[in-house]
Amino acid sequence: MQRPSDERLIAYLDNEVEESERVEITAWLERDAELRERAARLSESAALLRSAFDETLHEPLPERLVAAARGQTAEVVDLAAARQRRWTRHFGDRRWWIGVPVAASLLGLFVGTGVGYFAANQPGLGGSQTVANANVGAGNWLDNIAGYHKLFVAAGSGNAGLVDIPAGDNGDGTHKVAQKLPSDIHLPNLKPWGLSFQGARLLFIEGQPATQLFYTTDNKALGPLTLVIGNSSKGDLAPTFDHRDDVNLLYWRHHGHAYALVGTANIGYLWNLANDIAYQLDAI
Amino acid sequence: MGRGAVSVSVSDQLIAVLPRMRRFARGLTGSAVEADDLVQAACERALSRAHQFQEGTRFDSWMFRIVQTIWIDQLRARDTRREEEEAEGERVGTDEPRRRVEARLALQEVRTALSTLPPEQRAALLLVTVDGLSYKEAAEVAEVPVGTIMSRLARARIALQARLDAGGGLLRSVDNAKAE
Repeated sequence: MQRPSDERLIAYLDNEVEESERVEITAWLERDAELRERAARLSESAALLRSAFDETLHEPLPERLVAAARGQTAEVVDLAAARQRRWTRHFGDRRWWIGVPVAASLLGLFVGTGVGYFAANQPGLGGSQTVANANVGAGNWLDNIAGYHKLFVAAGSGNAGLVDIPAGDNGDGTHKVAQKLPSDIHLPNLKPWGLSFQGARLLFIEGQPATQLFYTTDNKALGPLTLVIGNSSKGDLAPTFDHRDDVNLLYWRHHGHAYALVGTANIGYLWNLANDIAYQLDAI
Repeated sequence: MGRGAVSVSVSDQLIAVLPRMRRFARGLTGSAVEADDLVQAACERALSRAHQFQEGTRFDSWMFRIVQTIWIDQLRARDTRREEEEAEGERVGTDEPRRRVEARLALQEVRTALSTLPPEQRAALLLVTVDGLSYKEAAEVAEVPVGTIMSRLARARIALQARLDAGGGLLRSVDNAKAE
């Protein structure tokens, strides 16, 4: 296969290529540093674009639009008045600030640019060699969380029997989860990514307590996601990519904590998420 | 099913999809006020043509198509003049932490870069990259072949990347944040 064009690379990042092409492009990415950089930059700009418009989703709906949707007589649009309402809303409604941490957290994407998974591959080693070495000793628990991720996805988010701590109707599940995390770790905010927390499972990884958090999203390019956070007695490990069948994994260790992301999202997406989480938790 | 019953159902679905319609419209128009005007017009058109909605098809795609159609009609009917009011400069003067201001400006730069793209590329980018529609779904909204969406999207992503690279503002923001 020839080096993938920008169009094919973008289709790959959007999960819009056939399986055979996906495998070929993945192989290209593993051996072509320039292409990896290109893919990472395209993923970053896409994530930025999503974030640039996310605040709209969290704004209160204007009354005139709700009225219009209900088929009620719409007011005559007064542009000056509309501007004034918007001005007031910026300062009078705290929800405007929801967009700010989104933007702030996204800066982490750039801070990490160039020192990511791909760059973490050691000089002199091919990407596949590095992955293989990093897998030693990590296989069992990766199998475990990848398998449980698939089980959770297959069962559907409504199956509370698979989680130890359900999300709860009032968000109380997140409070319980926060209590189970290591004392120096807080629950990262993944709502800006459109991820909705569904529940958590408590487990042990390499003898240390850990929490596996499940998220779902309407974003098909991202798909259901698992985040694992736990303690670790091992040394730091640069973000490392792996996969189990159709499930991708990105895992790393930092300052006594182990982290993993599991999902069907492509490498770029997982990498961007990892950067955001790392930024929020100072984890890489 | 009578017309009234259909309208009630459409109203419920409209309200549910309003946030995404507003986001789509804001990306297309580049203006919060124009976006809400556009969404309001789309709601009114959807209610007046509720009988045209085909049961079993995606309601959100139908609404995106209406929003896009009205917007294109507006573009053709008048010269588009962008309102760059938004009071951005005045907010920068607040005691908002510097890093947040810079991050917000960086996102504003992305929105500005988007607004420089041709309308059809902008729409493809918003439907797929921002709203997460598949290429097939976006093609149905735009009423073009999937291949056309794919090429529009690729051109848009490459152009957006080039504009962001050329602007350099994002990197400046990051440098400032790191320095802080």
